[in-house]
Amino acid sequence: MATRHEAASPPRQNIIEHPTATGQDNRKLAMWCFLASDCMFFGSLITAYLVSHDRAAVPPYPNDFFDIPFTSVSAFVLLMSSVAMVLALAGIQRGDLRRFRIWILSTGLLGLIFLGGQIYEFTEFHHEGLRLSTNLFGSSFYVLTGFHGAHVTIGVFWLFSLFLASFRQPLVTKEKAVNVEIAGLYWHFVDIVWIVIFAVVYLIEAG
Amino acid sequence: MSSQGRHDASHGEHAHPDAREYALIASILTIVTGFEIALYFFTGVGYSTLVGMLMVLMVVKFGMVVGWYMHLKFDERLYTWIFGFGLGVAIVIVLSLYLLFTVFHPAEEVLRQLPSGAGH
Repeated sequence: MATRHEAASPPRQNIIEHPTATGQDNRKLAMWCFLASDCMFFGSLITAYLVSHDRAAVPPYPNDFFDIPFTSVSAFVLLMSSVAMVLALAGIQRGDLRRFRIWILSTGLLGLIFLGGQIYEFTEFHHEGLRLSTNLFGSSFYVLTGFHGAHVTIGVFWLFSLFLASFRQPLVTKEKAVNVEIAGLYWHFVDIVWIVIFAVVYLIEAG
Repeated sequence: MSSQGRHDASHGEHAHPDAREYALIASILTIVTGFEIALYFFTGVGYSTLVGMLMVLMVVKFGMVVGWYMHLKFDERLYTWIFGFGLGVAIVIVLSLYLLFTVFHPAEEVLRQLPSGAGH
């Protein structure tokens, strides 16, 4: 029968409620495996963009569209959401539900702001004539950033559900901080993908 | 079973960052991002140099978020191997296809071969 062993002093706790072959939480291990596969997925999309964006036979072209100052603000917002996420995790690991709720809500709101910026950007591009079927640049750009946006959307739903769960269910507790940690891993991954996209798609293109 | 009810010992072995350290990491990330944006406005740098510098800064930010925020630096090596494998495959994909399509089949050559009025 599995026994519960709770760490006495460190802020982090990882209660394994049943034996596992690796000694690690299987859900956390599964999330890392998923992130590894998502690396390959986004690597493929970024490659498709890199080899396609300058092969458009007809305009518009990348330099016609990108608003670097606006996208820089978006990048900063997502970066700060990662900070909020890690503070939310630190809060729940200390058993401070109030601090956890503040920071997880902040993370979700910052994610929503980022999504709003993306929607605004896509709308502007669409009005200026760049659509999914316009040319290779449009197709590769929208597919890459669209999939990233979809990941962010899923993450925002996840974060808000954690926020709500902290009020009604014993799902978000100090002993079960791994649930928040797993969500945090996903959210930070979304951020690092944008770090790459921002540099490769926006900055290098505009340089 | 040796793993039955076992607390993950590695978490007790390493000192995890506190809020101050997270704030320091955030400050560094902000500064690096600002420097990236500054490079965009600084037109004196050649394109190759710009790309190189942006790549380095991107890797620095990537490493800091993965290492500190995702706790990979303090966590089990197993996770590093798993994520590193996926990341390695992604890098190989990007590099090999990019080389294939830029060195061996550059865009200018492809566009030149297109019949006039070709779609995209």
